[in-house]
Amino acid sequence: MTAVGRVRVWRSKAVAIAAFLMCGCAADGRRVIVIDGSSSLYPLTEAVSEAFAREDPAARIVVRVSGSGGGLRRFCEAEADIAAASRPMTASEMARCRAAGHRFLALPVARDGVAMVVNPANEAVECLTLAELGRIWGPDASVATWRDVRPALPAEKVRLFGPGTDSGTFRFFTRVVVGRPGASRTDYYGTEDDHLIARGVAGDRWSLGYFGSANQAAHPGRLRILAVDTGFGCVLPTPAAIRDGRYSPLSRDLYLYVRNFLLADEGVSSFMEYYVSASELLAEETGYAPLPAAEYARNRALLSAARSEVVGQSARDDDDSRALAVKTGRVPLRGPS
Amino acid sequence: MTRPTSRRDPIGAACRVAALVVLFGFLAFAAYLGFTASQVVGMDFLRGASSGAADSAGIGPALAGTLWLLLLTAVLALPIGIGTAIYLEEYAPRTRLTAVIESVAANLAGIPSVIYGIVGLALFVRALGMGPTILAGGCTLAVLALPVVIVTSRTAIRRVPAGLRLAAYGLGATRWQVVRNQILPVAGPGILAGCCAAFTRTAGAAAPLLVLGTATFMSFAPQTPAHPLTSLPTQIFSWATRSHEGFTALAAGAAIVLLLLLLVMNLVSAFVVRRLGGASP
Repeated sequence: MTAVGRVRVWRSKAVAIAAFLMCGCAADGRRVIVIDGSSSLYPLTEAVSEAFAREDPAARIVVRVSGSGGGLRRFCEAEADIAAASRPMTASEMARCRAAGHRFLALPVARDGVAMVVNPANEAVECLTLAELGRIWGPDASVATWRDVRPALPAEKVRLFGPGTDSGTFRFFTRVVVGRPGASRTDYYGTEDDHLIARGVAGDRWSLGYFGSANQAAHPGRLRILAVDTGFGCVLPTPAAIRDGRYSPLSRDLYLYVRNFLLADEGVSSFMEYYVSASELLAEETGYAPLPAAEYARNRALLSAARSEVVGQSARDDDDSRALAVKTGRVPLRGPS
Repeated sequence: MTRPTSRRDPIGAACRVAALVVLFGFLAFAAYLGFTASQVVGMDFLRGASSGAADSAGIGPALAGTLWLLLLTAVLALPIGIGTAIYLEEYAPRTRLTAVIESVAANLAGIPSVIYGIVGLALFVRALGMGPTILAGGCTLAVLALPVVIVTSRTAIRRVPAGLRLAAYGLGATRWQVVRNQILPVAGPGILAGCCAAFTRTAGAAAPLLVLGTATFMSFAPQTPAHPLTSLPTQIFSWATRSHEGFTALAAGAAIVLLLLLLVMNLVSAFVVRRLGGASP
């Protein structure tokens, strides 16, 4: 065999190996469903994904947690198929996402509260008012010790742990408590990982933290949930109080976002339908309050309408631009409606 | 060998105590991990997907991810690293450029691994559009392993007696013949030992992968490098941040599996090195 021939054989082997590695001969062509976003919705997403994978073991589901902001950004850049968000999209996010050529559905799937947590060894505090929270967390907060919050409390330094700026819980909490979304003091430990907030609070007797109420279940005995005086007396963020609105200013709907054209994929659309139906049952179990039944019926109707539209559309309309749009994950705004 | 006694050789005795502290410290650590892990490790644990319920969670996807990452690191870092080392030692003229390459490689070996994660995020995940995939993780870990492979391979090559080299050249051998027939057989065990050290470093790295973006939940084991990134160290990190006791045991179980994996890798390489006739790493 000549040297050139040997090189050719080598090259074709290398190409074959690379092709094997990239498209994967073991793969059966099923789409990997990527969910990214809010940590507040993570316990429910995890429970639903697990149940779905048990019923359909060939399903391929990946869940990442990068905060509502991070998840929505990746969703609009087509790096994630489904975004989990603990707040609705902002107007500017929506404009950017539409400009990128995406049409999408926003489906509320559960409701939770923002839980205020302290160390169990801190027995001095039981309940905080919204005004006190505003004084603690505001951008020009002067609160350094618990005595600054309320004169009867000990003069111990308040160490603060909370969500980072990509978090939907952060934007929601600052809007409710401070009055402007994103307005917060910055001298606190901020992270998109709720478990790190919980670990921080569990390790410091005089700390205070906040995150989505469902995640506190992962830390039994390490945290104490504070009641919040919302004007109706001190209320704990229990599923019952969240559902009937007593925890109201600090409870919010959690959303899933999905791009319409992905619903043409059998796997994505059955997962979305499963999520909406299962969350009605699993919400309570995973520490959330379920939404009224009518909301879930509306979600199902929205999903099936969007699905039949994109399925019909892709059957009727297969010109080059359409094919290109599907390949790049972007669907033009025009089209029959 | 005589034992140093404190009367005649106080320094030797102190060194012996230090060695015992290391030995018992390691044994206690391994016993603790092993005891905690024994509650969870089984076939279901090795195959199962991660889960919100501690008693049904497994490391299937994470283990497959780590095996993929090791394979990619080997495929990418070994040829480039060993090639660079051979070039620098045997071919390169002593110019300013080779001096720069040398000092860059030596300094890169000391940079914290998280920095490599930031480079990988900008380069592989974003600029090259790989996304947070196994492939991007493998490329990042390969870059992390590269300086160590280069530095240790060069040391091994430099230890080859100059007489061998000169004698071969004297008999009319070409450069490549010298490298293939004289240098590599003698330096091979040392190079292998160095590569093994580099792989141990990369297989346990969580920080660079966390920066790239790892899956928190994955229902399936990655089957191609185009699948989403997951690995044992990042799975251990994810479980270790939860307070629930069950997850602490899971983290310990995953840590034991990672340790065993690295131990097997090191044993295999020690065996190969011995067969090749070098000193055990």
